Amino acid sequence: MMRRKGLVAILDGLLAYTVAFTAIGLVALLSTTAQEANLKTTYTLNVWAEDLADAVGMSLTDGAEDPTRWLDPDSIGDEKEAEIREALTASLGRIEARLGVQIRVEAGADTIYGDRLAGVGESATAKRFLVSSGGSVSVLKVEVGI
Amino acid sequence: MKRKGYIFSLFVFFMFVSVFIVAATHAKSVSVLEESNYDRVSLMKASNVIRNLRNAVDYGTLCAVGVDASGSPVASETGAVRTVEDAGMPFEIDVGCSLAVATVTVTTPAGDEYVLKIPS
Amino acid sequence: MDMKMRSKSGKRGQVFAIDVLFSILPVMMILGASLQYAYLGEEQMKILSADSQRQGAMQALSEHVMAEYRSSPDGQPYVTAEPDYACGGLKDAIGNAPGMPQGYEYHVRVEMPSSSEEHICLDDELWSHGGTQLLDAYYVGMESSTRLPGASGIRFMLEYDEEGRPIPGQIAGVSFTVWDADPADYAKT
Repeated sequence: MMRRKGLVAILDGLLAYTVAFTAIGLVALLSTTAQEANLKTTYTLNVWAEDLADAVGMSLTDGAEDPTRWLDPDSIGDEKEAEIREALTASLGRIEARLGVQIRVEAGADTIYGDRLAGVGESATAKRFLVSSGGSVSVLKVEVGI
Repeated sequence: MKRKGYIFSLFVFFMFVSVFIVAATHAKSVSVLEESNYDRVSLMKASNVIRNLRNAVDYGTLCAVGVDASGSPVASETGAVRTVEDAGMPFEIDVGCSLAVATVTVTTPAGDEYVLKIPS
Repeated sequence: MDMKMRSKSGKRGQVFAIDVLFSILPVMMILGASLQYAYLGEEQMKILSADSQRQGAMQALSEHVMAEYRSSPDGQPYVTAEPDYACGGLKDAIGNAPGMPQGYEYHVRVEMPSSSEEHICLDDELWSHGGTQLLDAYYVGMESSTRLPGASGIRFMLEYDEEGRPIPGQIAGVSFTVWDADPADYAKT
């Protein structure tokens, strides 16, 4: 490279720094703008998952008992459990179609609605505790993906 | 000729440095937003789980009363609801047992603690 | 002070010559474009900030109703398909909400699995304009030619039967919407 002197050297240096700053700046701007859009989606999906977890949990009761005590499906009578599953399938299916999301609900060892989420960009999970008649604790998991 | 270029390139330089500064401040504000969003989401989930625990779980599920070597009763955790941080529970749940009360402490990553006491 | 500079070799030259101005022209164009861009950016920021406020008002409303629902022992304000009571609880909850931000209209719509109709809980007129497709995404900002901008969100509750007990598995969607109040109407109150 030719050695440049004086003011021209300063100008060259400025040009080099300018290009560097601009390039870094543009890359940073592009990536952070994408990040920001994710924030609202994350919050929204979590709100939905939490709401649905509460609603499903409240459904998992054996009519006669305390409705605030949420039961593992194994501890609910078969007939009652079938009713609950049917109602949930209808409700959650409607919600999935309306919102364009995928929902999966696992209660204890069973999956009571949905399959593994496939092709989702982002998902949120909500968990609650269920008790079984033997006194042990299992987990209700609701996943919502979009 | 050289001096004309001097002013021109100074203008251009400062303009493009401002792009860099805008990008840097935007990146910082987005990272602050992300952190506060994470905290907000954790707080929401923690309070929901606390409410769930208060309703669903009783002393017997959390603590088992046994006897120690000298024959006096002592309470110990059953480990039923201990959990580690994961996507559905971005906080820690710790259970402490005494004969009179089971204490459930939920700690969010930001350091906020919720304490729930369940009497025996 | 004069308008001439001295070059290295001591010769004097004029700074504000036409060729200097000509060469600065691209700089001026860039400056002009960036000023315009800054102005557009500011206008955009005003819109974003108004959107954000509206979404905040909507979120506040939905959180208030959900918090009341969760904290009450009998699930008030619950939603039920029983026609006379479908939204009674919701209307009361919203009517009693303290400190709702001024300058907005608040609307609520409920969709229940056991009823094929949608129950409009506040302001029937809004929905009769065929607005059923609008309102199920959280944080959606909306505008239509007949209305000012709005924000909408959806929450979920279990549906209750007419005796006030939850019906297992029937999950109802409750849609909260906040529109900017028409200044003409707002000025009257």
